[in-house]
Amino acid sequence: MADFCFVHAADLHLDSPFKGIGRAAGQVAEALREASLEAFDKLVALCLERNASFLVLAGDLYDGPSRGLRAQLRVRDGLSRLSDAGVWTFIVHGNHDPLESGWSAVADHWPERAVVFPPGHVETRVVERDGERLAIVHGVSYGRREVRENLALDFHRAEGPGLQVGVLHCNVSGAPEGHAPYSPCSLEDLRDAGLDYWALGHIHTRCVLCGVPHGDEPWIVYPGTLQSRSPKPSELGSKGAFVVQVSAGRVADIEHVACDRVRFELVELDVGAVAGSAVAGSSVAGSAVAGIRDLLSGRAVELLEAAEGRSLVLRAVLHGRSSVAYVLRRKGAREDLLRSLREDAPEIGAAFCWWDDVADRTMPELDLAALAGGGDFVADVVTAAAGASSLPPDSLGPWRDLREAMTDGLPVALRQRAEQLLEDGSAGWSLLVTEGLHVALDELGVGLEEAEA
Amino acid sequence: MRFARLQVDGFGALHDVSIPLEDGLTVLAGPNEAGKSTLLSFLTGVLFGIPNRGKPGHHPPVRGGRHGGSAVVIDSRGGHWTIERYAAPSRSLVIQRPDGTLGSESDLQDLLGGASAELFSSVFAVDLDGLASVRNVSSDEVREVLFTSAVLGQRRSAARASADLQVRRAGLARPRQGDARANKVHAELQQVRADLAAARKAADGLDATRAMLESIDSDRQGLRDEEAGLRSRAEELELLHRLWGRLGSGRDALARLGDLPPLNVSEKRLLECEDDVRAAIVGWSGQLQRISHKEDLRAQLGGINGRVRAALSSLSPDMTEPTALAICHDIATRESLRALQARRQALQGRLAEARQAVERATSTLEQAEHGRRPSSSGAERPAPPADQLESRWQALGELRKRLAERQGLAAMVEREAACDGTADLGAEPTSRQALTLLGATALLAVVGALIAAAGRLGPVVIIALAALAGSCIATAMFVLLRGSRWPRRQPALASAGGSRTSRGTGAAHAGEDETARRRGQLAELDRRIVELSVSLTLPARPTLTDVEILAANTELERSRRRDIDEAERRVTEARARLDGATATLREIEDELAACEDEFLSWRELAGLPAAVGIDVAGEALEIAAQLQKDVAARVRVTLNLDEAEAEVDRYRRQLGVLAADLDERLPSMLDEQGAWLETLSERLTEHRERSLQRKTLERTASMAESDVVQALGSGERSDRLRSELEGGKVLDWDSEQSRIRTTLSDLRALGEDLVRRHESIRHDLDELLASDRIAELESREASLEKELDDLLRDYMTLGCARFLISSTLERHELERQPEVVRRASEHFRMITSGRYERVIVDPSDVNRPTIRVVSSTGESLDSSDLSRGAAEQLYLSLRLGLAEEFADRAVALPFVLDDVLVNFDQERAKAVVRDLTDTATRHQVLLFTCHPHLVDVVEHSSDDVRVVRLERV
Repeated sequence: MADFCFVHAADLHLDSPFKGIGRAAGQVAEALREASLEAFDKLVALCLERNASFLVLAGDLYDGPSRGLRAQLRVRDGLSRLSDAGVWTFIVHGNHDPLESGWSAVADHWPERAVVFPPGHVETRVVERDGERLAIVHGVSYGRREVRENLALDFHRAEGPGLQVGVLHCNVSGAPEGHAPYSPCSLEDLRDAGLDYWALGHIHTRCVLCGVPHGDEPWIVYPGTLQSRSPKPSELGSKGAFVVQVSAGRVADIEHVACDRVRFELVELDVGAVAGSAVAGSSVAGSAVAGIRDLLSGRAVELLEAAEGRSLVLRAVLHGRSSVAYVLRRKGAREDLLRSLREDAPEIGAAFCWWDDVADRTMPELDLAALAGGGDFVADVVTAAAGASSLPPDSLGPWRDLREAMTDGLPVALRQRAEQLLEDGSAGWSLLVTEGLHVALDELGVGLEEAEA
Repeated sequence: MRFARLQVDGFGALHDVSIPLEDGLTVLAGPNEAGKSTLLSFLTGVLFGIPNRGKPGHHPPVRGGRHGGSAVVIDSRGGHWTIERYAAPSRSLVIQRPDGTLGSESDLQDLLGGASAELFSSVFAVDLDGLASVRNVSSDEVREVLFTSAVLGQRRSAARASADLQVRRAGLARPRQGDARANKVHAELQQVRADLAAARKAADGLDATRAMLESIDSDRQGLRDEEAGLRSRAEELELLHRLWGRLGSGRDALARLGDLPPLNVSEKRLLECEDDVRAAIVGWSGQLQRISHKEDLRAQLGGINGRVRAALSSLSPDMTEPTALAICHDIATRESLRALQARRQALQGRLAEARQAVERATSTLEQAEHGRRPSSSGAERPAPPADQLESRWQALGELRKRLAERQGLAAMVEREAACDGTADLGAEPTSRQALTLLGATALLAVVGALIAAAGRLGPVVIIALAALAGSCIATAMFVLLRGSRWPRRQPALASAGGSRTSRGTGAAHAGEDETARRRGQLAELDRRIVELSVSLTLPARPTLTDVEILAANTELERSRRRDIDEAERRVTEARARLDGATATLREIEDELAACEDEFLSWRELAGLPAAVGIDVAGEALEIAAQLQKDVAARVRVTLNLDEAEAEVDRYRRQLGVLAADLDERLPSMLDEQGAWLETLSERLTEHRERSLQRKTLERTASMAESDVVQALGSGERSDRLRSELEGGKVLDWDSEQSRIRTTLSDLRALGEDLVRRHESIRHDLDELLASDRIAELESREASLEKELDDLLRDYMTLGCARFLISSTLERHELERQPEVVRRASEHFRMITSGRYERVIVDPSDVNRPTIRVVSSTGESLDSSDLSRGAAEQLYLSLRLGLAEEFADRAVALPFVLDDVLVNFDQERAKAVVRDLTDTATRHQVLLFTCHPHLVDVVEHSSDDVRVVRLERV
């Protein structure tokens, strides 16, 4: 049986916006908009470059039906190039691009060697080369967005030689969390199907749940997204597709190849280590902020150099306890730091580095417990904040007034949005109350004497 | 803290005023316009800042001085501070610490216990109006200072912090649409979402757009079909119009065909024989020509025969036609004859010339011989030979020359001899003699010339004589002229002699030698003259006249000799010419005879009869040639005549056959035959035209029908159109065509509109497919959402912070307020002498507290129900309670009261003074008043009081 390779990608979310990114400069915004499409072009080039026999796309090619036109045309053109080169493409649709959405732009204009698996039942296609069977590809698409049934149970090994590949958009238990439980299934369900390789989609974090080279266990693989779309943890780092090498009808090796054009990275920095001796309100504090900026800029250079020509979107997260926290909390201080970082952002050729945000999670060097025991006004403030932050937002009880006070004065629409933010897990509420306490103490000048001493 | 001194530089009406102050209760008393209220404002201004222009308490100096001044205060530890403050523009503040160093504003804040101007004005420095206002004691500043223990140690205002946080919140978001950041971001987000919705709608409408395009395409196709149907109908109507004409012409042809009778048998036969008839008619004129030609040929034949006979007779009477035809008159023969005739004519011309030359030579010879004979005048001496005459002529020439030389030389010798005294008179007679001789000679020459002319001598002789006479006359004239000049030469000679004499005798010898030499020359000349004279048979001493006569004679002889020689030469020449002419004549005569012989030979060869001479031989040849031509022409004419006769007979037979075919009789006479043919022609034309007309009409009808059938084709449409055509409703067709044109125009407009719409939608569709607007808008939406969330988090963080501060502040107000109220109750009970026991402040609304009092009888009254004096006493009690609370927590600030006792009765006033005196043990109390009775009350109520009298400024 001939050796061959195929490429497995999923969750392309073509032409979808970047979430959680602030206003970027025009060049950056355009690069971000084009990133997913360019990543797809890179994927097509990868298939041609590796002389792949076929490409499987395990769902969520598009982020939504309304934004699909440009992406659909790009997909059709790319798949046409593959088809012209003799490369087959097998597509299943996922929860973001269920077939009920239409996809009218390319629905009737797929190239010759592009196969879109239908919804409702698993369909099987045979891949041959020079009359020899290479693989059997099974797949099923989402007909609607919310598919709660276990589609993996419908997959069964077909008779005959060749590698058997299952293409499915699903949520496998044991995979990284944080994704909607569409088509939930277990590893056992997948193993029981008797296939050789599960080309899965839906989980944006790259992970190999099962499989060793030339082993008996099936390969169960999430390639992750093709291109990052937000600063969420699942979107950080390199993104791309797997090239699956097949030898003697078994998976010999899989190789992840980065296809992303813009990469997201978090740069965390403990300001306590940086500005231990910095004093707020003095030039030393200014130098501490400059030191923070220099460290962040240096880290940006390192990341950009390691990105192999890709552009970077960076988000700095400052944490730790330091008096520099007072400086960072001053009005405009964080914005000034961000502006300075952007001005000093490195570039290598066409690859740029864009500082999206500087998150300030620093704390002043305050002993809250001591403050709480002071028996004075500040003690009451600290005690009140501690009581509020320790409760979940939906059971605030006596602190319901606090929640109300936090959102009062907002227009109705903004109030609703703020409420949603508050309900975004207990961490959001707790973080906000803690931050509010520090702002209050800052306003009251607590710790200022020590800082100014 | 208390005031030790007030130093006013310039403030309102106060100028350079210094007021020392002490601890305890001090009354500052003075009339109106003493500056009490101004001093209160100055005091506040020095501590907390002089208000800006236009604000209450500003008090610019009106009596000079710099706007401001200083105050000396003593802190709780007894340290003296100097606070110097001046208003704008310098707006300076100088604080001098007790140790003499300069302090900061922070030091001043410490000195004042953190009290603000509002707190000081509300609690510690009040006038009557301020005292009556409960608002002052419920302001945030007062509440915060009084009830918030935390801020006292932190130097930061919790209320201000709360207010600052609110301001910061308001900068982030506002309840209604405003320019707050979150509002703007939200508005932008809403706009982006609206744009996005529109873009998505457009994207969602892709199928609808495509369907619309297909619908438009379908509509366009429908329009095209309808247009094609209308155009087809229009073409049908056009066809009907066109066929309607054709159909009409066919019908018309059929009608006219009915009016034309068909041809009968004889007419048809005539038409059948049309070609023969046409041929006969065409040949009729030829027949007439042939007959005429035949007559002409016969006439030609007669003429030719006559010319042949005449030619034969002109050549020779017995000349026969064969003989004549044998005469050769070709070009060579003619040329030979012409050459002979020319040669003969030339020879005859030359012969005549030769004969004339002989005659002229004979005549010339005779004339020459006649001229050679001597003249008839007589015996004329024969002329000597010519050479002899030439030698004599040369000798005469030399003799003339010698004689002339001698004459000149002799004259010189004579002049020399006369000079030498010898007579030279001989020369003068010689000149006279010579003159005489010359005259005679001239006369003789004239006479001779006349004689010669009369004797018809030769012109040479006459010329010689005339020349001789002329030379003589000229010589005579020369001599006469010399003679007339002679007298003038004598003096010259004499002068020359005189000159020579004067030169001396030396020169005389040279003259003698010259004379001798000349004499020798003269002798030599004489000898030569003699020799010449002898040879010329002249005297030994000939005169010039002798010489000239001899010369004239000699010249005559020379002339005569030349004439004789000329006559001889002419005779000789004439004889030679005659001999030549005679010989030439004989040669020509011989050639002429040879020419005659040649002609005879030529005539024989040419075949001409002997009677034909050379002169007429050419004409004979011409006649023979013409004769031969005539004979040849006669043959041709004869042949033509035969042919003409045969042709005439053939045509006649043709007519006969035609008549037989037509079953008619051929007229015998030529004229009748012509008329018969004309009749046939007319009949034939009429039949033919009728036949053609019928055929044309039949063809027209047939073609019309054929065109209609061909145009209509076959099938249902053809039947329908045929029916419509037969119906012939042309007007209906016209109106239908008009309607179709209008409808087509409308359809075109509709089609163009559809095309425009199609292009527009297609353009939109292309843009939609190529657009990244949704991606761009979604990116913007995501960015704005993130920005909005950040702002909302900030907003909620600030809200949380503000809530933590404000809620704690409220709780502290509730907890601290009872102590102040307790102190106020004590002061109010003391002032009212126990009439009222308690003061109660309703804490339900800390911003607008409700104050009630409870009398000793337990009656509870609202503060608004108290009398004015009692209410003012209540408010004063509250301020005293507040001041004491502030003093407990911070600093005991001075109490400054401006005429607050005016509404109190004397008892209450005394009670107040006593209370103030007690208070003055802890606070410095400054009591301003313009009422002297109040001063008395104070002085009588307390021993520990000082009064400072102020004068009106």
